[in-house]
Amino acid sequence: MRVVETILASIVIMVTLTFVNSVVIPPYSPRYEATELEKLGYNVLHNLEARGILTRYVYDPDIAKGQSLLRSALMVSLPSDVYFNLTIYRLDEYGGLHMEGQNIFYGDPEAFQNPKLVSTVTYVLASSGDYYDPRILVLQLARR
Amino acid sequence: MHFLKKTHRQCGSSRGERGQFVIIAALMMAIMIVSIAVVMYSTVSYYRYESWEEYMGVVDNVMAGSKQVLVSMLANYTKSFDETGIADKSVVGDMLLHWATDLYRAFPGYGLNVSFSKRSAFITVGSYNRWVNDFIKCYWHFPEGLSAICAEAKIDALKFGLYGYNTSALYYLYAKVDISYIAKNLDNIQNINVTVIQESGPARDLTSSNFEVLRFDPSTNDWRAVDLIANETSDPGVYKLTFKSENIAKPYYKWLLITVRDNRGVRVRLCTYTYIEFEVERKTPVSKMTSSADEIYTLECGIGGHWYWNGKELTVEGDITIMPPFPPVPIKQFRVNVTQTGSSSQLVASPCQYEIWDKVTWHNKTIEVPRGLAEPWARFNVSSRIVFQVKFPQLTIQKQRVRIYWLDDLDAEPYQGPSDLTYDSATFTANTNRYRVEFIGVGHTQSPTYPYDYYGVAALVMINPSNGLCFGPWNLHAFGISGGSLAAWRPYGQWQIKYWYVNSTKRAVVRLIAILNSTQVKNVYDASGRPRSDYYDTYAVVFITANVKYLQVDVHIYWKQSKTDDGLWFATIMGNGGPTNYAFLNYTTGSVGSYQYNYRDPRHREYKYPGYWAAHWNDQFGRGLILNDISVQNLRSINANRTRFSVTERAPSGANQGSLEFEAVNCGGDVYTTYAGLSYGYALAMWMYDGGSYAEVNTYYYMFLETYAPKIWLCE
Repeated sequence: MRVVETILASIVIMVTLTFVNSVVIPPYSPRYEATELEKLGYNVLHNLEARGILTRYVYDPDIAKGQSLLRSALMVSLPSDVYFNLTIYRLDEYGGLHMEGQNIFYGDPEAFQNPKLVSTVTYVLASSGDYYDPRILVLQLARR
Repeated sequence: MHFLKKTHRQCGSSRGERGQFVIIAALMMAIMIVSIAVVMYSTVSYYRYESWEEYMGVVDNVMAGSKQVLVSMLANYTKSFDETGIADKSVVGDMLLHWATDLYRAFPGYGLNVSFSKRSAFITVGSYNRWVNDFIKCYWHFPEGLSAICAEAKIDALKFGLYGYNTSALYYLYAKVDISYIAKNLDNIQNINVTVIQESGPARDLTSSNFEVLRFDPSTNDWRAVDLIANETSDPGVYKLTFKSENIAKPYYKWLLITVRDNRGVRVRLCTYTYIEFEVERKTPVSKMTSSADEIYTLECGIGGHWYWNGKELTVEGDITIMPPFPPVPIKQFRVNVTQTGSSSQLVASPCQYEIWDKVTWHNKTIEVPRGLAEPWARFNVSSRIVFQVKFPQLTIQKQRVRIYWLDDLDAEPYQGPSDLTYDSATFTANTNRYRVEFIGVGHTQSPTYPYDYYGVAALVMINPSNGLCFGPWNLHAFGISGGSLAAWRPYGQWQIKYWYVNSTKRAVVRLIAILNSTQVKNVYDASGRPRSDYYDTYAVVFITANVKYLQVDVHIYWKQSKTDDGLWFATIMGNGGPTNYAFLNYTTGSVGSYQYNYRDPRHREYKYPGYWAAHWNDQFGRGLILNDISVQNLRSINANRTRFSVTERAPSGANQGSLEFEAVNCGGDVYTTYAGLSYGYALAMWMYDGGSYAEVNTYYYMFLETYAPKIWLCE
């Protein structure tokens, strides 16, 4: 009988642990989705810059070509279920922002309708290598 | 049996209660585990929500962007310096401030405050090491070179509660050319090896376009690029540069300039040599001299193997016939070492300064005149001259070795070692330990030490620095008589003093240059008379030299119109009644005529055949006026029969004077008429000594004569 009781107690503990384990693993809940996407966005931009791709494409004299290549690079780097909308601004010497080219967009526009589910990452580039010429990249991310 | 069953039931009941207790305990443990799990969960969720990743992302972004800014600034700095010779380090701080401001604007909700400050770092690559400070440091023009930038960043991000995050950044390019081939004494070379290292390790991604090799081309007297192919050897970062179209022959392969530019745009320039060496041989007649303690030459070294002394270009001889070229280094980098007791003795630092000279067409005659001190960042070019001094303190010393070398630190200032030369612009006075000179002219017409106003006539008032005694002015040129007073029409104008380096607070340490470029003359005795432009033009250059007993004056005269008057003087130096004796060297006999001033029966006394020098003195001081060969010839060129050495014993005011004068045409005879286009020049040196006799002037005048000018020997 003690053996049975012990087995029952063990089962209760195991069930409890299983339950706890299932709770502790972070769920893909909307509450944390934005943070996850921010992390993802920073990582992708940082990796692209570390490889020299980001600077090369952003400062490409042919803006349309550079932005097209940058769109492709982001599509390859981000998971396929993540939509993005990247806007590049040029910062003039007086602090004014001027949009460079067009928005670099991928995905369903409706995915960006709910601000709570959209993550925004700001990333700054200082120079193409020749002289100081800052660009501000605003990357919006949303999951399908 | 019933009893047994009851007992058994009782026992079973007891076991059952214990079992329930175990289950209750297990349930309680489960509840505790769930509670702990909830706490852990909320804790994990809290930190996830606090977004460490986000702030790390921002910090990474700031540092990555800062790297871009710093590297691009280093690239621009080195590019600017390499291409133009000018680089402004002050923009670094401004640019980093700009970057910090832009970061604040880019992350408006983050409360991001980034500031940059200078930080020192010690870079070691093998046995090579250098300090990096003041943001950017470049060490160039040696066989090993470095360009580096170092800064410390402090980051505050109020949104994340982040304060005082400190991190430093150091980026550099190091390069080294292997010069071991020079010692092999090959006839020619076809390649050289260059090592390139960055802060992250050997630079592996360079191609031929990242290297430039310049060789000196004797046919153009300039540096020329060599076509090359660069291949990385089996050693990482070591590149073999093979010359495509030519081998470089001896000795030119000793003098190469190599520029390395990495793919970030950062540059380093290397030199395969670090100094230029030669010997200076004295040519003065030792047998005729009793001492040479004050035989100190102030030499000028120009590009392409040209040396000058007292306006004469020196002859060059030697084992090698080709002068090593000066690398295109900022002139402020140069330094001079000279031996003290013979060419095999130890080299000692010698004061030096950097001047710019021009060939000027002045009234259809080409004359070489100093423009002034150089712009310190200017590269050594055909206009540049390095000025330094070589001593022969003993008669037994015939040669001294000179080494002109350059510093690799591009921040090096012009040489500013100890010097007895000073200039006070408030009193228009230059001082050395031997003499004091007050510049009289427009803007400063009278010296407080001499009782006569010169009304804008340009002259040099000579003063004894030890007791302030004024000897009176040195007049550069004069013509005619005014109311019985001699040497009336003298150059009128304002002195230009060249004592400071251009765009710099650094000063001359070897010699001060004063220039008078005048088209007017004035009667010095006529206070109300206006300056006249119808006599002659004057171009005079005065060198006030430190650490020697002489000062030098180079004068050019051009007559614009014909004038008739009594007497034409190349120089008159006043005595203010101080000297008791005078003497001069007779040009014809080579003998010395020595006399006493007769202040009791004062006159203007003239003597025929003036030679290379004249002197006057008393027991405390003496002054000699020395002419070189060409000056004596020019003195005699106008009318050799009327050339005179003369003295005037009384000033127009009646005071004792005691002058020395060189007259090209004496004032004691008939009037003389000049003519338009009459032109002549002369170089004079004044020797300041302790008096007692003329012996010192008679000993040292040789060193100013072209015949006895020193000779340059080029050596390996």
